[in-house]
Amino acid sequence: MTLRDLQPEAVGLLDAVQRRAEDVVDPDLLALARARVTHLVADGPTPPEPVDDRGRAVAAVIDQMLLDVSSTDDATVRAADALLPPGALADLVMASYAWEARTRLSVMADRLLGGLG
Amino acid sequence: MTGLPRGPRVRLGADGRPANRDAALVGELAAYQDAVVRSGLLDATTTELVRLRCARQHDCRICQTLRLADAVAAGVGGDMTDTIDVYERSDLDERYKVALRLTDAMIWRPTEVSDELVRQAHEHFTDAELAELLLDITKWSTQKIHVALGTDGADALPRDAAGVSYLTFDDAGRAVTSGSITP
Repeated sequence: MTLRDLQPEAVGLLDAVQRRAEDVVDPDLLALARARVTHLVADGPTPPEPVDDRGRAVAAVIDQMLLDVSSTDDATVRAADALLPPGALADLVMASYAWEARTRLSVMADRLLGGLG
Repeated sequence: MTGLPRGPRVRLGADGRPANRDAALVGELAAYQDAVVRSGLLDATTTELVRLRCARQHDCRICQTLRLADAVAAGVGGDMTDTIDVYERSDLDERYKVALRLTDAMIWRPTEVSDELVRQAHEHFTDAELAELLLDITKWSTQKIHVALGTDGADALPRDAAGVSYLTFDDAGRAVTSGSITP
């Protein structure tokens, strides 16, 4: 059985988080974050390099969250926050985490269950 | 895990939370977490050990201050929680160690889960329990959002004399914290 078969409510609600993220987060930044998550968590393709300061600042935050969140430094996050409207970085971090959770669930469910579903 | 001191790294609103967050996104993520908590297949001790492992690995100050009240009532004390960082060398039951190995695999290198760990997982847990365990790890790991933004300070938590805050969940799955084991 898939994870969705076993936990339909929770997996459906995680889908809803992704949909809301797509409604409210800048699509270019969301795509950047998701590509980095897929690369670092699931050995996905190497993401393209960010093309501007905003993208580079956001990528630095997302990468640090994925590699070792406890080592995140003030300067990295504040630099990204300063380049975005108030609240936008918090939304992006939530959206990135939701994609990270989905990706980690997918990889683990492939190994332990019948996939994410 | 670094233990680095940190304060909020993003602009805050009057409520002390990140300013201008999208309320619907916050709500959808909360609804997911509530649903995960409402699934009660795993015993409280396994849940607490996994929760604390996530807290320690991600260095979340709030989560390290908390103790799951049901687990404390089931006998999880300081001697057991002290083993979290060195669980492989501990005398924890093998079922708990397998849960913690799965936790580590999922939060660090999920693509490198070994065939042996898959075998152990199925030896000690049903598929339904594994599904809940995987979802639990993502629920507890939402702490990464707060750690990244520097909003994981535990100062506002009610605590007992030992500095512990007790965590329970209401019927909807929402967290309730208390400075005593019986809120």
